[in-house]
Amino acid sequence: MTHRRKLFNALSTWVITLGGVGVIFVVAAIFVFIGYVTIPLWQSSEITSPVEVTLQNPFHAPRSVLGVDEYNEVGYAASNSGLVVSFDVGTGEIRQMRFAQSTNNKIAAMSIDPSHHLIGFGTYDGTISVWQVTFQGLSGNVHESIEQLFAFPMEKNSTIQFLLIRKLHGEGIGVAALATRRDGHAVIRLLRFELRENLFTGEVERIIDSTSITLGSKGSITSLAVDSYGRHLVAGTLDGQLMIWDVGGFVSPSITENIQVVQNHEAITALTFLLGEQSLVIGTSEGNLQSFTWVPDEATERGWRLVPLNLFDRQEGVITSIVTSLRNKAFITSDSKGNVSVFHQTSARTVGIFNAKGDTLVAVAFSPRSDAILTLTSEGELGLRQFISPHIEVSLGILFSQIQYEGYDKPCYMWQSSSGTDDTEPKLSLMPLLFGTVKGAFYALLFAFPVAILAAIYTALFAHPSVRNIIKPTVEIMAALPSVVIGFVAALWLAPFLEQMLAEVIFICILTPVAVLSMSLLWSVLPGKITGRLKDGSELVFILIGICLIGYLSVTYGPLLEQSLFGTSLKHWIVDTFGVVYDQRNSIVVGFAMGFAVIPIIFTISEDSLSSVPEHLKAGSLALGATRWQTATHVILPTASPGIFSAAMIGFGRAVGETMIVLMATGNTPIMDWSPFIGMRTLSANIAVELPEAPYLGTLYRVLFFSGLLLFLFTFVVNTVAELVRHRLRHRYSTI
Amino acid sequence: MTLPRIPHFLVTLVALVSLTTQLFSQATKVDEKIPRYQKKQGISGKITSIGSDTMNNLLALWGDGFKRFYPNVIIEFEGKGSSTAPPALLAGTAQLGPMSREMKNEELEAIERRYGFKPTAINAGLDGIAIYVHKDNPVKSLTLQQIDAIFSKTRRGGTRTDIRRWSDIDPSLSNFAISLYGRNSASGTYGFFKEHALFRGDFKDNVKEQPGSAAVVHGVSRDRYGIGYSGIGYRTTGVRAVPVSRKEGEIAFEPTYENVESGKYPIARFFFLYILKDPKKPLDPLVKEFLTYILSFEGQSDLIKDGYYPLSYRLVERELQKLN
Repeated sequence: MTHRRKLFNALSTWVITLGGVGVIFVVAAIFVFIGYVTIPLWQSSEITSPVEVTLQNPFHAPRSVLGVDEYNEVGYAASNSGLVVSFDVGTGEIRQMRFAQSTNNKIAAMSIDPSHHLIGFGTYDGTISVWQVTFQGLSGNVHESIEQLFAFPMEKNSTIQFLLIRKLHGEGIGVAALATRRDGHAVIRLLRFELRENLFTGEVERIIDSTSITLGSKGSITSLAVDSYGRHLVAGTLDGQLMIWDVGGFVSPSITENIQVVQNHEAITALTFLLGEQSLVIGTSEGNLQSFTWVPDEATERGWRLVPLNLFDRQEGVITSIVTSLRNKAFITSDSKGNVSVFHQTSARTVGIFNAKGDTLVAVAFSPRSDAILTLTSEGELGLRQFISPHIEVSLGILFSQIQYEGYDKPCYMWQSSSGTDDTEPKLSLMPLLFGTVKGAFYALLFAFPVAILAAIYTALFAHPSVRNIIKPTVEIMAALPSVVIGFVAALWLAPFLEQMLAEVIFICILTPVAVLSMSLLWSVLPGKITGRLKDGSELVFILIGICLIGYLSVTYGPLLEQSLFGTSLKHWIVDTFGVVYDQRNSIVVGFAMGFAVIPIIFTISEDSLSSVPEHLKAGSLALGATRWQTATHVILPTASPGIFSAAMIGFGRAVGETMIVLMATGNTPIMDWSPFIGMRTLSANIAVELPEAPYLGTLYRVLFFSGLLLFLFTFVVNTVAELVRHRLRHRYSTI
Repeated sequence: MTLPRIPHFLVTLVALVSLTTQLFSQATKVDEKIPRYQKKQGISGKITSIGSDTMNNLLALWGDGFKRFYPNVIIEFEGKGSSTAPPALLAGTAQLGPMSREMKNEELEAIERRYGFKPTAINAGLDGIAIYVHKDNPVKSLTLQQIDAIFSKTRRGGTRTDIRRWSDIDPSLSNFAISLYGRNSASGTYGFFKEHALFRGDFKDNVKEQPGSAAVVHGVSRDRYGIGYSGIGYRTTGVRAVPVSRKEGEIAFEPTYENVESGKYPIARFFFLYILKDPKKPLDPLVKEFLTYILSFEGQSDLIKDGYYPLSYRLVERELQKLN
């Protein structure tokens, strides 16, 4: 018998130990897994060492433009001798070659739009021509064709000083050319070229709209940029000014504005729009780099103004070109000393830097997928570097500090993960979510804690055992309600109900304690003859009657009281008086719903700790003549306080991790505002909403895992602190 | 003062007549030129479709319709959002990826890296994204710029002032704050709305992001000051779809079939079904037949059943070409 018992004992020890270790192991494994998914977020970008080849003759040019296909296999370049070539990036072998000009008509300016592989030439006699390289086929089997789209005499007897071509959004190609006449006067010519197929005849019409902006003689433009919607034409000048025109879709240039953006009168030598065309980057003759964005402004005549965004690390030489990524908010700069740097606009970080052949560098290209950087020197030396940065959008600064995004005039915390298009700037600040998590838990506890603790005190210390035997299981059954059901009821019934009956609900909340107190008072003054005859626990029924009465009175006479107090409905009064927003899915709804979910936990744990206070303490206190109330407040509550504290903390932990209720009952609005009349977005709800739709192993996916890690740490810390404090308190009160 | 009493049945009759004429005038018809589906021999197996939440009901209807021809075919569909389609196609867990937006470059490239070719998008139907308000909301119409100012904080549409209260649109409306409902940020509807109604701007933070299209419509139907966007197929009696115009001064159009098909209604889109079609090989016969069914008269009629709009004959022809 003893032997068997020993065996059983050893076995159970093993099983329990194994179980315990297993739980710890699983938790640790989850932790490690989540951590593992987030690791690539923190890996810095990498630029590989170059693969270098030399283009075969005759491609030697002091100036050229450069582009590449999306597989980084076939590149193309155009030189100021009027040559357009395509070449094999791996070997430097020239595949195709075209001449863009006759010999007596020299090239004065060139431009490239790498998004659609467009190349533009402008000549010394005012003619422009636009070429396109078209790629077909898949990786390993790419074919290209080079063709001239059109040529157009832009401005007679003048030199095309600057040229800019853009594939326009929708249809057509936009050209902006700065032409200087022989007499020194400058003019900007705008042209919109479109091929339109006639649906009936099948003929292709060429549509060319042309217009011009006269600059007078004082124009000293050193760089040009235009967006593909044809909204803004921007020119940088020799003395650090930006001249901005609203060009109205390339046909009707209107308002102009000059803004001094660089002090010390540095020349703006390079200028470009970033992807999405909501911001632009300028580079100066001193190597300074700065970005700007448009923000809506009612006060200005145009309805917008330009505000500075970020300053970037200064470069050594004169900035010669800025090339934007076609995928994200990264851009490449090159300077006169051959330094090439990669920056990220949103975080203002320098992502990578290298030097490409010193001052012989003439052209830089960012591959269409932003995964490679191509450089070309005047000697025809080509360098291809892989650029590996899968999560360029994320840094600690992006996740946790205030960021000034495109289109905003000041830094802010903001969560708005993008979808649909590549050109929107993802806003991945976790602060609104952390805030929402704490806010939701706070409002839930604000409601749940007093109710649960008072109920626990009543049930443990004052209620008759028969009443206690009903109340405790009932409250515990509340915990069995699936949170999705609570969330559903809160969203579809409670939220609209509360919106209509806000005043009544508030009256009930205020008057219920009053009712309870007054009914208790009434009970105590009732003659003992009546009360004595009733069963124990009837005082509860008596109080309940009072609460029901208050509820009835509030609903019936609440609207009247509301009218006489506020003159209108309470909701309107709040909105008008405080200027706040009242949202139907707000923190009050969440507080009630989530409070409902955490009440059982807080109630059960604190009730247990209250009723497990040793009987001799209670008996001793009562025997010494203390009333039940004095015993409760001076003896039992302090002794049970460690348990109550841990109940509150565990309730808090539950509220922090609660997902379905917040997901359904709030609007998941990532706002940082303590107002009870608007909602919030919590970490857990955010994961539930966005994870199923986040591209697998993409940036958003990993950021969501990271927020899961934060949530994990958050509850871990809360529970650990709760446990530690509970131990200390227990230690202190164990002497009683 | 006494009014002549109108017999009850007359009132009912008038109401009924006006209701039916309204129904008839709105009835959408599939172009008769679109061929009916012809049953083929030897079609069996299983199709799995993973993708858009908006198109979930549609897939169910198409699946049922297809099964009438081939009772042994199993069609499984899962609709958690458009962004779930590319990973499923990539992993090979689905043959069909319904999406309510076009694939992003990143997604196209991931598939291309794995298979060596890009996925093919088949246009399967038309949808107008309706702007829903509570049924008792008196607002007459909205311009795209107003919608932008209501939903966006960057206001790229060019509206000068923010619209926060209903009275900002029309002083005769309530001065209550507009309560905004929308889809969660990775859904195709969200992305499409952001691109076409917000001019690629940002949503306001107080847009209540709902996990499904039905939740948006339900939220608006219970919120007198609510406004929300969702596919036209989710219209219920509790909400009203507001007519939308492109610009101030232009005519506002309701999201009816005629207006969506002709492009007069400004926020309309295609539904896409993405498939992996190797350019060197013919398409799997089961998938091909299912898509042929969807592009048939019957399949296009299913769109109407679900409240969406069918393709024109010309578009159906073009899409059928892609299958060969």
